[in-house]
This record gives sequence, C-alpha cells and structure tokens, in this order.
Amino acid sequence: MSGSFVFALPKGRLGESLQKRLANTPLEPIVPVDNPRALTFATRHPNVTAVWLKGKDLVRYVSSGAATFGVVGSDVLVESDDDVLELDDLRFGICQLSLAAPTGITEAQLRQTSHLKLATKYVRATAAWLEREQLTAELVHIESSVEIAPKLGLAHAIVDLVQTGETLRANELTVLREIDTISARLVMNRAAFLTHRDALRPIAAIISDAARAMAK
Amino acid sequence: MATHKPHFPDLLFEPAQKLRRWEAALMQLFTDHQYRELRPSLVRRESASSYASTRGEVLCLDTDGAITALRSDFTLSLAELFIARFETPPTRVCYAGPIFRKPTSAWEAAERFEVGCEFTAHSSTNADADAELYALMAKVPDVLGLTDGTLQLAQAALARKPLDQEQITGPMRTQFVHALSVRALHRVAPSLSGSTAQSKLTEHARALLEDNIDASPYRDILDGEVRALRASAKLVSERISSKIAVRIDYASVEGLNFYTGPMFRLWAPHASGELLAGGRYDALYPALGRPWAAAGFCVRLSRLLELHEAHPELFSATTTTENGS
Repeated sequence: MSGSFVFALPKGRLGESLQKRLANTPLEPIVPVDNPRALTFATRHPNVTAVWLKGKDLVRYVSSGAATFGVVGSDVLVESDDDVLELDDLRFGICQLSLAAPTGITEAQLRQTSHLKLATKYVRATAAWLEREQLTAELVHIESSVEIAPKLGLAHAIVDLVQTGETLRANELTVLREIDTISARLVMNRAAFLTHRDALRPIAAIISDAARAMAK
Repeated sequence: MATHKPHFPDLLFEPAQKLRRWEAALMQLFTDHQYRELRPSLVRRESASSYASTRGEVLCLDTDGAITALRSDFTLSLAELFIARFETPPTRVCYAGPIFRKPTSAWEAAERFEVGCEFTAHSSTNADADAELYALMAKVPDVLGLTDGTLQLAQAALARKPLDQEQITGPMRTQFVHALSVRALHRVAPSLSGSTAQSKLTEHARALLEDNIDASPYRDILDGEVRALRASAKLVSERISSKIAVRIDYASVEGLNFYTGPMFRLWAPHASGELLAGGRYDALYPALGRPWAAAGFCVRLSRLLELHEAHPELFSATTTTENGS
C-alpha cells in the first residue's frame, strides 16, 4: 500500500453511488483497467489508498485501524459493536428500515399475534423498535432472502431495508411501518482521527462536499 | 484435537520479553516516585453471575464448585482492597499484571496486561495530585520508546455540567453522550428531541466538536475547567517527549460515567485503542462509603505489544527498557 491512509469503500450499490460522487475529486478511485477485480487500488490523492469491503467488515477494518476511514450505511453501524467515529451523515444511499408483511395483513393483526415472529438481518434496530413500541416478538436472524420468510412459514413478517419496494411487491409483501431512515455515513478510526486530525480533516471534507454536491 | 483460543494469547519469545521489560521499566518509574506496589488477588470469589455479566468478567469454577470471577479491572479491585484493609488512603500505589475481561471487539484478547498507578487522598490535595500524575504520565512514552503519538487531554465536566444544568437524564443523556463520543454532530439534535434545551445543547456540542469552547453558550459555567485544562496542557507539553503531540480535546466524553474531572488518553497511529488512559474519579470511593478522592492511570501493555508487532517503526530501537537506564 503506497498511501499512508486507507479509504474503505463499501461494496455494492452504496459503493457504486459513492464512486459516482467521488468522480473528479482528489479521492476518485483509480480502478486498474487490467485488473478490475482487484480489491485494493490507488486514488488520485497521493496519500490515500482505497479498498473495497463489505459493510460489516468495513466497520471492523476501520475500528481496528487497518483502514483509516470509510463510508458505510447507518444500518451497519446500528448492528455493530465496533468503535468508530461517525463524522458525517452523507445523505445518500437513503432507504427505509421497514416492517413488511404479506399483503392483506395489517399491523393491528400482527400486534395481536400471540407469538409474533419477525425475520430480519437487523436484529438490534428491530429490538429497539419493539422496545419503543412495548411489543415482544421472536426475532429470526437471517442474513439474506428475508422476503421469502413469511411465505415459507419462518416468520409472520419481516424487517428489512426498502428502497423502491420492487422486491417486496415481487414477493407479495406490503410495508406496514417505516422504522428508521438509513443513509451513508462517513466513519473514521478513532486513533487516526486523534493522531492525524490536521491531515484527515481536509480529506473528510472532500467526501462530505462530494456527497452534498451531487445531492444539490 | 487442539482448540485455537485467540482470546487467551500465548506470548512467544520477543513479545514475552518485551512485556517483562516494559512492565519492569514502568514499575521502576513508579517506585522511583514513591509509589508502592500492590497486587490485588487475581480472583474475586463474591461475584454473582449477574454482577459479572454487567462488568464482562470471566467466570470459572474452583475445585469446590464455587463460582470465581477473574480480576477484570485494577481500579475496582484496588478500591475493594483499600476499603477492606485501610483506614486512611494509602496515597501512592502502583500495580502490574493481567486482567480478564470479555472482549467487546473481535480482535481483543480476554487476557490483557496492564501497569498503572493510583493516587488516593483526601480531596483537598486534588490539584497537587493531578499535577503529579501528569508529570509522571509524561514520562511514559519515553519509557516505552514510543516515537509517535498524541496525548488527548479532556475534562468530564465540559459535557456533564451543561447536561446537569438542563436536567437531561436517562436515555436522552445517554444518546447525547454517545453522539458526542462518536463525534456525530448530526446525531446531537435528534438525541435531544423534545427537550427545551435542544438548540442550546446542540450549539454547545458544536463548540466542543469544533474545538471552539469559547463559542459555547455554557462557557461561563465552564471557566474553571477550561482554565485547568489549558494549564494541564501547558504542564504536560513542557515535560513530555517532543515526539508526542499534546492536544486538548473538548469533545471527549468517553468514560464520562466514571471520571469526574480531568481525563487523558495516549494514542498512536494504527492503534486499535488508547495505549494509556486515566484521570480523576472522585465518585468511586464515596460510593463505597469512604470520603476519599482518587486519580490514576493505566498503561495497556497488550495493545502496545500488538502495535509494536504490527508497526515497529513507531518505537525507537533502543529505549530505557533496553538500555537498562
């Protein structure tokens, strides 16, 4: 790694969205044409190297100091124990953490279910919502294809991220309640922030400005 | 089949030697300054499992089947020892050894080595004790051979006093403190939703996070603390290695539930956490029934070992631990 700071970019849709925002900025990633599957690559900034990481792992890399800073969805932060600074709400990658049930089922019916089962990847956020609502439910923790859980009898309803709602509709589910708004956050390693604050503040500002410029 | 236990690490050769040398050098530093060595027992037999789970203690059964908790924290173990054995504060003590605590991070070991010191006294000696600890702490980076880092100085009252004045308690206080802790200004106003002090405390948080304490609407009630903090920074800067930056951090609120006055932490690039932490915790002994004040600091040797292994360039080749001075 040639750069002294490591920038962790999120894989997937959020990462693609971030890449567009960073185009023509000093932090624009330079993905090698001859090796597009490389996970580490340079940026236009001489002191910053970039890596692709999945959300939960990204937080762990940043928390441990292996990566200096990164961008990750706020949903990942809620579910993580790892200590990172959350310097900015970048206000893109916005979606809703929502309660959804098979079309035709109402929230009142769910509330009256004696042994309510909710399938979700977002156990902490769901548990916090249940506590606020003074509800109890069995949380079925699954990592993927949550939308099929009600149809296969694993759970009565799901709590999942909803952006357009297309996947829900395709699986005959309807949103009953929006629990939380999720967006991209700029995270940084605590030790790096404290020891290299003067160098890192302008770099953080590049990301914040790029995110806001596209939002305008 | 052998089981790999990364949370109870074995130290092989160089790290083992390094640990022994650092521990010896730091204990020598403390005893040279009239700190007397104590070793609170490694086990605590009175622990109930619910108590243990709140402190993350590691439990085991002894040969009689009784539940035993391993020492999870030196400060609390010392406090229990002092309460049981001393009529008056023992003043200066130092300690070294392992603690066992369930890790909160995946890479952190359950067994961690620490060295530290504590100054217990009647409260009238606070300022002198703080100055003495700052001076002692300033020598630690040289003893360790650390060549790059930042000493973060903070004051618990900068967050606590405004919250107390506005009578912010419970989950709202917790969320406000968490927002400051992760330096998320965007989380501050939502954390105070419904409070009449929302805009004033948000302005205060902005002043803390932007290192501009003079812009705080609570500046008047914090004058004594700000002056003391600046004086401490001057004192430490004059004494600490020039390779270690000294930085006042107004927004630091980590440990707010424990520390009552000055707080300080030593950081280095690439470290997974602070390498040294300490401050004043005057509420500890009164809570245990003794009208004593206390302050101290602890060096996290396990984190230093990890940092040394991954980034040896952050340490000088020859330190006071190697040359025997």
